[in-house]
Amino acid sequence: MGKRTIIPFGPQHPVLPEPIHLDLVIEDETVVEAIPSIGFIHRGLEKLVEKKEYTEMVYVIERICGICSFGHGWGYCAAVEGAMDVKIPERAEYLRTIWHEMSRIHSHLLWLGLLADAFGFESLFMHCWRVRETVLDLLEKTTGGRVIFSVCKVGGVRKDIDNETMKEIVDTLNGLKKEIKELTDVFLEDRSVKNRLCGVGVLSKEEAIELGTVGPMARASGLRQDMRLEDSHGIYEQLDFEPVIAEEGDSYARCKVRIGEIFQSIELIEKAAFKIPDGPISVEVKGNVEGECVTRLEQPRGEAYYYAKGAGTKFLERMRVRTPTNQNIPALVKTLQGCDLADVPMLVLTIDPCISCTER
Amino acid sequence: MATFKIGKVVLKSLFKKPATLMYPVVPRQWQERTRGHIGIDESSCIVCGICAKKCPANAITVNRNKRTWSIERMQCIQCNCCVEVCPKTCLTMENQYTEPGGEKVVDTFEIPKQEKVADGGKDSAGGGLTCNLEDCVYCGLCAKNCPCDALTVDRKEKVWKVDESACVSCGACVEKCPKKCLSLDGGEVPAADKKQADGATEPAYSRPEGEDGLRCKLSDCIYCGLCAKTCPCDALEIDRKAKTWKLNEDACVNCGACVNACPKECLELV
Amino acid sequence: MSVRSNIVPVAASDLLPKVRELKSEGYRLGQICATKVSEGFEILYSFDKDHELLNLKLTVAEEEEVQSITADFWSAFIYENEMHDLFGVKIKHIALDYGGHFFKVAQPTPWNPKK
Repeated sequence: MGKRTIIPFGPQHPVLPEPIHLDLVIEDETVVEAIPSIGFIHRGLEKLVEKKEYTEMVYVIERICGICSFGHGWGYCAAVEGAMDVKIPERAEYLRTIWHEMSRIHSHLLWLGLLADAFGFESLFMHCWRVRETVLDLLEKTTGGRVIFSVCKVGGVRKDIDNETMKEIVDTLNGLKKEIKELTDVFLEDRSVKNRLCGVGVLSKEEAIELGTVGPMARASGLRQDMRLEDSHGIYEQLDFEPVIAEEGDSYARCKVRIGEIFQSIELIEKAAFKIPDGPISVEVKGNVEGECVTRLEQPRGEAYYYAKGAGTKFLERMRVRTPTNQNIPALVKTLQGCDLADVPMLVLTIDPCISCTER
Repeated sequence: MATFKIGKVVLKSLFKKPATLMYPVVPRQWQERTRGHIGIDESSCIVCGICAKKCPANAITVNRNKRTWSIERMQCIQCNCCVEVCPKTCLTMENQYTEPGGEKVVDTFEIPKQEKVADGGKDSAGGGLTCNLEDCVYCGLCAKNCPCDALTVDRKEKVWKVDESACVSCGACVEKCPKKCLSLDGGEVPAADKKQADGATEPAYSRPEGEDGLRCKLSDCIYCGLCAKTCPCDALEIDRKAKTWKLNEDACVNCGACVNACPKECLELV
Repeated sequence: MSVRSNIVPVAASDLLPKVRELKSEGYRLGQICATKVSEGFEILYSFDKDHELLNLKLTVAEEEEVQSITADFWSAFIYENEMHDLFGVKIKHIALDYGGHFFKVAQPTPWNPKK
């Protein structure tokens, strides 16, 4: 047994856009244990619901995170609507789904870029983000915001997409397919990339269940777990949705799942744009929240959990947002055990960490 | 396994136009829906301050005494909330971003005095709202619709109170009042009151004069049953054949919904 | 949607046996969160199996100690430390106990301030 050393990793580290700290216990070059600690940027937004009206809070909740902002807004609205027993119009559900899938595309492209950056492939990183820009432009055109859309509200959505724009979205995304394919082929086929990804940070199916792993991380370990299969929100049932699954459980599989999801999202948007019914986009919501409700939503990073509890005032009593990264940290700790020190930055990235999400 | 898979992409981009703009020499094209910054039409602003109250980021400050409206540009999150709640729709979302700067920018706008307010002879700082308590049924709709929580209504104690410092004279309650007994700046209510008092001295009522509650001028009633249909409490029972009009006093909350629905205007709340 | 919330009350003494039972049935831990209520804390344990959600609601007095479930679900340590740091819920035998240093808070138990 070699001599043990503890190396602090983060909160400031070139690979991390956000602060998370890991105490890495290493033996020679191998990590034997990792102790995570967070809480550097905790903002207490869950507590803020007691001071902001539930209708205004949507815009604050959206700002939990800059990438999955739409998911947060939707999850919050769905929880409040559930507690108030509000049924939103079908067109609003379709619009929410379309925007949510678009944000999944841009989130996954962002992640691919960051992953390329983590293993030192700068030009690939730049190209991923260049392609992502087109998606952001579409989002700005339809919602008015590039990353924070502010289109979800309790009772529906605030803006509509007309048929012409809908067609433009589908055409542009289909046109992007070729460009995305060229880039994702690099991830999936290039030798130097595969050398870094294959067989690194393996998480078995059993471990994935035990540690409560969610999202693409779980699906890369062979779990058929995707909240889009739960038919309580959105219209995924009508889109014949089936999650992308890989069996290997290593970093390469996680990459493969996310790449698969980009193309799947484009297809889902196309189907939804074809099927979207006419009608109102929101209902008027009256009164205050009374009761409680739990909803879950599949965000780009995995299952997010929302719990709203109201006591009949215009403020909520409790709002709980459990984000996917929160749930994936134990799995990260597990995959880090036994890996090379050089692989740590990349493994941290393969869970697609969003520390802002974690520190609501 | 392939080597240098990215070669094709790299070569292509070598001969293509750059994907970026020469910012700031080449200006950005804004989308129509882009949420850039908040603009205000000073002439229609009534300095009510609802925007400031509803702002999730507390970026807006409204000073009613000095008649100023100011926004902290860097604190504003462009959620469009204020634009939606403004009762006079004098706020707009412009599609140009606030320019980046070395320090935080606060933009203050002077709001010119409006002639209407000056006419009433009253100060704009609240106090304009009055309720004709004789007509008031204490239904509480005004309090529910008040964006500033300035109204207190207690049906049991028959209390209607306005917190003058909180009231911004936006008029939201006046529109919602089912009895139309609220008014801003006093003016109209006495006239309306008079009209009702005139009509109240006709014969054949469902209840003796002087007694409080809902009554029907049976001499005019056609027993159409519309009142029963609109009653939120199912307190009314109408039989067209037997020509009966019955009221369950315990269930009735004197909301006046039936009064508004009556096609013959034979119902009234005393 | 609220029908799906599926919230089941559970007594403090039944918590661990129930959690063990869920574990053997193949449930995974979804999350744990605390809510400050007048009688103390309301702790919500969420479990999931094949997209079916099960929530256990435990109500405890503020001073009462709660058993950690990290023996069965190791990943619960994050939530238990979080509840301890933010609300001051007393939890016994956490597998990875940060002793109040999981979050860097300016004042102890900021979400349940002591008067």
